[in-house]
Amino acid sequence: MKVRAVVIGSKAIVLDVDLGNELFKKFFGKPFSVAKPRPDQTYRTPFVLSLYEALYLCEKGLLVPILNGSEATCSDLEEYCRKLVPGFDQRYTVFKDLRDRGYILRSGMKFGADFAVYEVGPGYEHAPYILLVVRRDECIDPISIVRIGRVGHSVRKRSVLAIVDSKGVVDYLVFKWVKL
Amino acid sequence: MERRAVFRVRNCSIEIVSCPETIYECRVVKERGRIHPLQVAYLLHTSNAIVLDENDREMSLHEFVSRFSNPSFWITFSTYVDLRKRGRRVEPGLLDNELVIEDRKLKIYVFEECVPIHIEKLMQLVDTSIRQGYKVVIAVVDMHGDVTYYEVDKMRFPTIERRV
Repeated sequence: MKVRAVVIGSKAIVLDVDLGNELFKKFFGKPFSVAKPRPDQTYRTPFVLSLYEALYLCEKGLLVPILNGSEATCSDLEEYCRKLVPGFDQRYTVFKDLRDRGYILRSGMKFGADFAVYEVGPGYEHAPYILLVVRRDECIDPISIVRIGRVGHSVRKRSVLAIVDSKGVVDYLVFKWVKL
Repeated sequence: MERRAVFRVRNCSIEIVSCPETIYECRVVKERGRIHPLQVAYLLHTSNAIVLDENDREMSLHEFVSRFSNPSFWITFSTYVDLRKRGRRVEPGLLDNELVIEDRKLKIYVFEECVPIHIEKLMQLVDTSIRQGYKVVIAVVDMHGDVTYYEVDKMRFPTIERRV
């Protein structure tokens, strides 16, 4: 399987419905304009991949990105992502680290985080983790910790800070609101 | 008989004149052999101590804090007071922003709303505390002195075998 995906802004669109469904069953992408899709169903619509998913699949040899109307390499796509998305590198490092371990990462935007992380998969469970990605050499406003800690508590998820060092090694710290 | 503790400030150090063991801080002092400015400030705040300066004049909390504080003093003091109010047997730690609850093996690091935390430093605090057998709590003090606590722990994501 090798999927062609048209990169538009911060999305990569798979127009081949069959291949889109195949990817979706492996928890890559989402059928366009379907609110809560289930991976055990088939959809007759384009599929929307995040740039993280697109680059990951490209590096696995499963996707050809179409950039500005022509086929591009994974390096081209990576360069494009870096220019478009601030902090792309460290987020992609975390995406890859967890995806390689079998976790499913989706947007954490509605929780004020970078990623929502699933163990079984979206559609089958609520994400057990929300993740905020930081670089080891940067500073964080304590309010960010309070924010993900509180949200995580209220939606019963574990709030995790993913810390990426200059060598691409990721450490994870979990925060839990306590009363003491 | 004086039921309050009496301290004397001399050359930027604090001398213990008397410290009755009915006061929790005094029992800690007896064990540790030294008093920390945070403990003195707390006893002053709760009217359980008098502090004399070099001229035998009683110092107010304001005067004492002006003389002994560091940039983390007030937020660490706020957290100390909050924990003591909750009945916790807390002690000042080795770092300016560190408190310890020994009977729960907890180290508490105090940070302030809007003052950035360096991630590398946070990792070091967590690593060191865990190595020493302590759990780590971060206390974030807001602009009015209210404290929110977060337990922090290292975690790893074990590999999940997926049938594809």
